[in-house]
Amino acid sequence: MNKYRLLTALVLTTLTGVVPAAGTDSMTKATKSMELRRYDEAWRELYSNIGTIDASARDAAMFTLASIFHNNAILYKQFYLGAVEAQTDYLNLLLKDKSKNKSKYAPLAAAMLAYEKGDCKSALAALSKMGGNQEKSITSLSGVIDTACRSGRLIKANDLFAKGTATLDATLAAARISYSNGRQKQVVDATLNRAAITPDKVLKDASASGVADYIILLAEQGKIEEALKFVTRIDLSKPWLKEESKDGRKIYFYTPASLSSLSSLYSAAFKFYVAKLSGGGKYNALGSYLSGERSFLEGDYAGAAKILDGIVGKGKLPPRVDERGAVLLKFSRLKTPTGGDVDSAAIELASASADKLELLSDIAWGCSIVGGKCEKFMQLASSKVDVADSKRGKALFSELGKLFELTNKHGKAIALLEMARDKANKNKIEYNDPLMLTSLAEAYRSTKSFSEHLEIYFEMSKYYPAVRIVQDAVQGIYSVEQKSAGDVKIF
Amino acid sequence: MNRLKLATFIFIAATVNAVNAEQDRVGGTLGYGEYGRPATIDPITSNDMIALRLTELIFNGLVGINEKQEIVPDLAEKWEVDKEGKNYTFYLRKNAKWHPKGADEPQPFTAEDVVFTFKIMAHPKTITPLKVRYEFIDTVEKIDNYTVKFVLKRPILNALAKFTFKIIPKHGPNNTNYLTREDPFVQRPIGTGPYMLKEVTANQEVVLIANPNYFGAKANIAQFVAKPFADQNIMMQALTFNAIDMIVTVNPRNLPELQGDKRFVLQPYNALSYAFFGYNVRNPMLNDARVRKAFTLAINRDEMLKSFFNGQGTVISGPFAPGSWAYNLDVKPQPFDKAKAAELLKEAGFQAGSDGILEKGGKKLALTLKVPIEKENEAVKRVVLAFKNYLKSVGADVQVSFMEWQAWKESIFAQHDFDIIFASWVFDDSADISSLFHSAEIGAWKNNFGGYTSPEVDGLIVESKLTLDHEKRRTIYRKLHEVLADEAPYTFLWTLTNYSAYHKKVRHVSIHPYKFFPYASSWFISGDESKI
Repeated sequence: MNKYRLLTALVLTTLTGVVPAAGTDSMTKATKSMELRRYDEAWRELYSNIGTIDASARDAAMFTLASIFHNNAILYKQFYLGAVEAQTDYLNLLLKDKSKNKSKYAPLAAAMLAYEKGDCKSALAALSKMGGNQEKSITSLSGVIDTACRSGRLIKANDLFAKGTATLDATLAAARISYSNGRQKQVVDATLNRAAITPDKVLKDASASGVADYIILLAEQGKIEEALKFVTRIDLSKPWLKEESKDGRKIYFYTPASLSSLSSLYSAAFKFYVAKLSGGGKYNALGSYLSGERSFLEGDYAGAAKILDGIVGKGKLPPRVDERGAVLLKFSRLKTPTGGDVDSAAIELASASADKLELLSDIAWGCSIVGGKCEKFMQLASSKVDVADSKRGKALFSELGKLFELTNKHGKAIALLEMARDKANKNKIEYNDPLMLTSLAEAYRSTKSFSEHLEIYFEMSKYYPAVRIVQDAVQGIYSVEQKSAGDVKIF
Repeated sequence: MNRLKLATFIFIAATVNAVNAEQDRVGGTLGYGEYGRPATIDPITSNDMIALRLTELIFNGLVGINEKQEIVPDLAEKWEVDKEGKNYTFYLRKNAKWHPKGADEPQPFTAEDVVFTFKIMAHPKTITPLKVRYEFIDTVEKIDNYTVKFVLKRPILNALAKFTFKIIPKHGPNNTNYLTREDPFVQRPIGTGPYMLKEVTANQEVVLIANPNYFGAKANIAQFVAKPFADQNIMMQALTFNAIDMIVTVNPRNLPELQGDKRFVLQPYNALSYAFFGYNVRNPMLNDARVRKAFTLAINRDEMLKSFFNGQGTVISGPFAPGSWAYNLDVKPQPFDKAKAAELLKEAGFQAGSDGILEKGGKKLALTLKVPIEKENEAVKRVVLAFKNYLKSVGADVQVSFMEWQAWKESIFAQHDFDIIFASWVFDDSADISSLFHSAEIGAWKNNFGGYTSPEVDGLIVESKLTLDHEKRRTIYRKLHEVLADEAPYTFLWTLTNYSAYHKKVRHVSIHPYKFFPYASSWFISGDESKI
């Protein structure tokens, strides 16, 4: 996980130079929230006041909104990856329970998670563990997953709906699966129309799973503004299912699909607002750059190369953005059919100016996105860590730390990420890149330092309530893993 | 030189280098700063963190927990648990010896010591916070000199981890029936651990030296010295002027300065701790939950944290730290609401007197707040004065009294002579709050110092101990959090950022978030700072 990197500092530096003085209060507030890395707060502020923005500041507003969505798409993707890891471990613990009091919903939650990860074999195995006496909502959903897994990508939408019409959740799940298979969108749209599914109805009758599916459906249908408006109305910390046994035990289940849906929506919203930039305006080159970066992040390397080729090194971008663009371009080309060895490319990029710490951090980031091993580069960059100035080196510590975390070298990752952390404000996102913090949290979780992990997410949840899914799962794991004598002392 | 000779030469050279490297690591003194000194240094009667850290160096448990959070052998080499989870048989190591008592030869550690430790801990006259924690043990029996069997009253969750409690020698205390704070052993303990007590100096510095007979890997650092400080600023100066090498907990205000100083390492360790104002419900005015809740509402915790600790922490809503698995994420901290506080006080029957102080039944709402003097640093002073002012604004008169640490503990835990205290609890990762809020824990030197009783809380605590279902226990703890947040036996304040700071010459440092020193044997002091 931890493949992504926020562009906050870079974009903010850029915005500082280009946001017109005529910016409205809303622009100022949104930019401030963005600066504090509160992207949810930032986009909600600007989005709800976009109509009031002066025409002269329109492009600036659209670009700002696009930038916020770009960052939020990255962040939610990171949350999603963390949630999948934590949920997998937590559900495995629940599934280990063979007692008569074993969890009723855990098999479905595990199946949904496996399906989300593209692992139908595990999904079907989990579904086979479901006991009888399940509610209709549960059997309908499991029916949809079961049918989708058994039939593969050629499944017909109507077959899915046949399983799923029983409940709103199942209908939405069937629609989402059909859409993601890229098939029979008309059938899906017609079915959804017949079912008269509206935001109000979803809010009233769907669970968090249905809500996640609805968000992605709206995004897929290009109803971006409707989807964003819908998101402002939902409680992102709400559990998907609540299980209560006769002896009073309560287990809450959350679905990572909420996070992936939001990431996809924010990505679509980014594209939506970039497209609204007026042609030839001063934000266009930056908008194009971000589009290139987005394509790169989404694995469309050919698309990224095509976009970046047109703007990088042409004097159209601020120097720092241009430099980073060059790194992306190099990696994008590598991943095209004419590509080559990632590590060699990284070394080649670094050798041009190995003392530029920012450049090294960009390369580390690029390596992590394309999934390259970059071992030689990591050695080279690590040699710069010891001598790097603690302030100037933060980006490098952070990116290198994330790269180590990706390669499961948790100890090294922790050491580097701690170097990147603001000690006086160790969990605060205002002082720390949230992606760095979530990477660090992940490294701590991997080394069973659960309380460090939970503290990071506790602070994060104040601005991103959707991370409750991660918190709840890790609390569950920690409660099993904790080994102590039950001691408490006064201080 | 033929190949064989060359290989032999390389092997010998490598071996000599390795031995030299090992020898390079041995020696030196590590001085570390603590806020105050411990009342006792034994693992049975002590109840503060300073003593806990020392006992970690001096004593061993039957089992330990390694850096990967796995349960590992310590004084027990191996163990067996029966299917039912009620019988635990420990096979003890035969090479462990007690530190010498006076001029005597070191005595061997045996099963007698294990049985003795449990019996003295469980004796009604022994004043210890451990009793409630080990009530689940029914009997302990010596099978032979190096085998001991514990029978539990019932199977419990994570039982093996409970056997980390420290073993003391049968020939240690003067009174072999029960242990009191008057027994010389609690001031001059002997253990089996990697360090042994050398002396407590006239300046109250606790000096420990490496145990040459330690059964495990010998400690690298020759001497540990715990130095007490009453003032955080002076302790910080001592570190920056190299008078000490380590601070266990850095004042959050000093973090930016240390972060910029390349001589030091800042190491996070997430002790599950929080600060609170605790109420003595023996005072009838404080026995009314509405009054305690009003006090919580009357103070602006966010503002206090921001102003006095640079915001370097998190406001909490209940009896667990946010890094704990037990924290109920649905219970949000009460917002600052003076009007609601006033309303609650009125509802509780208070009316303003002629001097503006609230009264009920002719008695003024006048209370004493006791704070240990070791906590008398600038930030703490501001917190308690702000608390006084906030409460004054709703009509309560609070007199703040700073007391010497031992006198404070005596006053709070033994005499219960206070209305409100300001203190912090530090937990290991069990989040076990039973000793804090269960009614059976009211009494001299017990942790429920405020005398809080609630049948509901008692019931939940007992239920949590009886269950073998992790999720059920989580549910109970969430409920406990909710109930205690509402009942407000404390005003739960915040958890602060925890960092230890140490000089870079101290190497291979690994810190346990709660016990701090269990891995200190492998720390060493490098003479070569250039390689840092």
